[in-house]
Amino acid sequence: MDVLTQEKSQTSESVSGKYTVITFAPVQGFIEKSRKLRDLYGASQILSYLSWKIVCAANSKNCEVISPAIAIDDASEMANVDIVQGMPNRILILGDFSHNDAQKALTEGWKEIVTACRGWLRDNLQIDDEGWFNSWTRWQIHAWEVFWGSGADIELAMRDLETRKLRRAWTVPNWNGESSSLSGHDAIAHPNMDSLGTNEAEIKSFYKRLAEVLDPSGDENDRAYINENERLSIPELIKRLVTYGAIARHIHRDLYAPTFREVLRKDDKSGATYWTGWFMGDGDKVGDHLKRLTDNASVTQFSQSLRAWGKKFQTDFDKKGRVVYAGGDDFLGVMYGDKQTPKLDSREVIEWLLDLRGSWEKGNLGITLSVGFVWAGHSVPQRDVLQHCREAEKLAKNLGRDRVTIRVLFNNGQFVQWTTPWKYLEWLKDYRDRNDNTGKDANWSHVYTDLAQLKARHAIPPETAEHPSDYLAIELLTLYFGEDKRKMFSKAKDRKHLTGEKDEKSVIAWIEGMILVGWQLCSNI
Amino acid sequence: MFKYLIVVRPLGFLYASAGAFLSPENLVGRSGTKFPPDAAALSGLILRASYEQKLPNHKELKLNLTVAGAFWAKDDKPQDFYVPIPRSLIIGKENADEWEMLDGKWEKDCTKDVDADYKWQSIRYWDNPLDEIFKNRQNSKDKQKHILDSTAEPPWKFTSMLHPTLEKDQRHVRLPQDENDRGSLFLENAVQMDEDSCLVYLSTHRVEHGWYRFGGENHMVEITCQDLEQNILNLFNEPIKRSFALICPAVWGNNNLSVRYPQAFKAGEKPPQMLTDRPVTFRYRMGSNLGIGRYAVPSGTVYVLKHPLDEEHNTWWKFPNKWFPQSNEDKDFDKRPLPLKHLGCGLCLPITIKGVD
Repeated sequence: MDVLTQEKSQTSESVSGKYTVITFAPVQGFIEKSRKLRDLYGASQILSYLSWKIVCAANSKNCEVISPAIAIDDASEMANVDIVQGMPNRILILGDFSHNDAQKALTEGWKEIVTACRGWLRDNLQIDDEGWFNSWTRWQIHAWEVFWGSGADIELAMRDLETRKLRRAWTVPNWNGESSSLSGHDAIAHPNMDSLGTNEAEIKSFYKRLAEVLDPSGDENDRAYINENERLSIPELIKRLVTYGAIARHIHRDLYAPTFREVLRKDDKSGATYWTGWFMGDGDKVGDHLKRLTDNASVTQFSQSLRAWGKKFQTDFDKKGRVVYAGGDDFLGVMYGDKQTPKLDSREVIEWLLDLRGSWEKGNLGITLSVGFVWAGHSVPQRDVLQHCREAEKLAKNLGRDRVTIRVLFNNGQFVQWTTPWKYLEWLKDYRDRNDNTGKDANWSHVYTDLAQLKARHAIPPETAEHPSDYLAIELLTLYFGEDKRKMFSKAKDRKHLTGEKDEKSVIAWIEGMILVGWQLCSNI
Repeated sequence: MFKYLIVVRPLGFLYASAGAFLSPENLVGRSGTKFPPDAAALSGLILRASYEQKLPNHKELKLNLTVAGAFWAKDDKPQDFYVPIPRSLIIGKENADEWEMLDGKWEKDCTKDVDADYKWQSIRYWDNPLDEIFKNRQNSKDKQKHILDSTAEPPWKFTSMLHPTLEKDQRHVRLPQDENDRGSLFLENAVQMDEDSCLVYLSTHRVEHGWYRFGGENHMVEITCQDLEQNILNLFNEPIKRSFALICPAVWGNNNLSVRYPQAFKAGEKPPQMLTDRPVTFRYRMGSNLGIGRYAVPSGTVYVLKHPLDEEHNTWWKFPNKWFPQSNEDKDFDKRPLPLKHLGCGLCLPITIKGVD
């Protein structure tokens, strides 16, 4: 009898070939609300873990997980899969996997995380559950939206998911009293938060103790996990706490990444701080690409290539800084110097960006890449840098994808930027100053001061001009970067490809961006 | 019903706050920037002005004042103000598309691949066919200035400004006093509005023309007030049948949880069809009262109900108070925070969706 039903279900499965796609939210929002690298890192670990839980559940239901592709045959080996590597949060399954199954798996994973954090606080700070039980419970139940779609083929399943997602599925806890100092919303987590009044002294002592217990050896105002003056909400607290070894290992042994402490290292004793490079990127139109891949094998292949690329990217990058996450086609990282040479050479940035494009191409993924790169002054707060990164990436996408936006961000919040198709990033290397010096020896002030002069005299029209002429800007460019550049500006189609728009204004802005960014990054002074 | 259009013209910079919440940590930087100031900011301004001027009807005002916004307009045409575009319309620079209902599901032409480049449309074009809105958009590119743009990009941009504070008696920047002192510089995330633009709010009550302090950091603005044109009033009186779109964020739910639609929309045990997005925070401080921190459904959200709204509830103005969450209900009316409906919460207008009768 058992054998019969099993057989029957297998046949019906292969006949209908039902595909299921699962995703959940907030993903972008969960990460976006982060201000510190540690929050971001914790957030991406949590997202990976939750994806992994859904993948495990699908495996245990004898469904075939097509993406993310995991090269193991035996479901019992799932426990050994390296989950620290980013798991994409869109999961494609062949077989009958219900919304309820997905919801259950995610809820279970999130509950493990919440319980581990709350339990650790109880045991290590001697906090009685009672005073904040309801608040934790509310966040345990209402933190996530789960989206589900199904269809006879992959494309239909994806479209079903997208349609269902249009109505969202959130329910969010409200709060009384002062808000988290990190995001400006949600209640400040403290041991008596369930009762309405916020007791300033109690909150203060809780955060002081928490900061000390998590990092007893840190400086008073510069602790590794949390500072005494921070006031976090429950979900924010959870993001921080999962980066703490004892808690992470309690949830899953692979969740903790011991090298993470490094990221927050300033130049230890000297107190000196330097410019850092931040990048955020993702593949263009991955959803559409997946739709074109109609059979399981090619989706699996694609998923494997993505994961392989992410892994390799992470290892290759190790010496230059830190990849905060590389999940599927999404990645974010920061470049900083090492102990020997704490100061990064800005000129290497261009080289590295060109390499990045090269390595993406080598991954043979069949899609292009858009990246926002921010070269940030030392005292720009992390959360602002992150926001600039997102804006830069968005700009690269909006102007036509397959592009990089480089934004040089100064300590006073001002910035200069340039968005270019990857191919033309190389043009920076063709710079030749008035004395015919090139490469490292070139003096970038020549072109920079010429630009400034021409702008000041309105010979190159200002942004506000009604009908600007790009004539002089192009002349200036060809003078310093070579006559061969000119042809890209003659046809409207090429201009559009280069700048994202057809008009002359965009040409001026593009050339100006190139010179300003070049002066900041390539100049050797 | 709303009677007046309140026009706010910035004198110099305005300030972008991180929601209703300001602290030294959140005063700086760009994350969570929120602009334009919501209706609560204007409501507070009107109430404070009336209190300071000792107006005789202050109590009546406090009980009934209803303000909605924020919207914006070209300086010379405040009555043609811009409101958020319903999410059923996707209007790009080169192309446009729309969602329709097919067998109870959202459908659109997936070959078109349009990015929504515009988020604001003129109220004059409300519920016009997509073609007309888009055609006007294309025409206005040809510099026919007399034509009102059907859609437009918002007229403000964020700029960072570094503020030094000087010592009281010396001309150099103040030095930090101790380790916790953040020093003498702070970075303000200011907002610059185009010179020929203004912010616009709807109000049930007048406000005296004059200069006021407004929004975060209390920059100066000039406020004028005019009667709302009859055809705009007609639009707000137009009955809602099954589909409508929010032009202001909406808070639903109870004091503990925020949700996406009021229970009343769940007629026949079937939740409404929606086109919406992630929640946005919604909180305001009135005097010393800090309201409950809540989450709102963003403006632009489209609802399609299973059954048409009853005639007694079929305009926003007729939505019963009990649909809106209310904190401290047990307290006297003037002791509790303002009802969310009085802050224009969930202000909406009927729309036509193809495939919905």
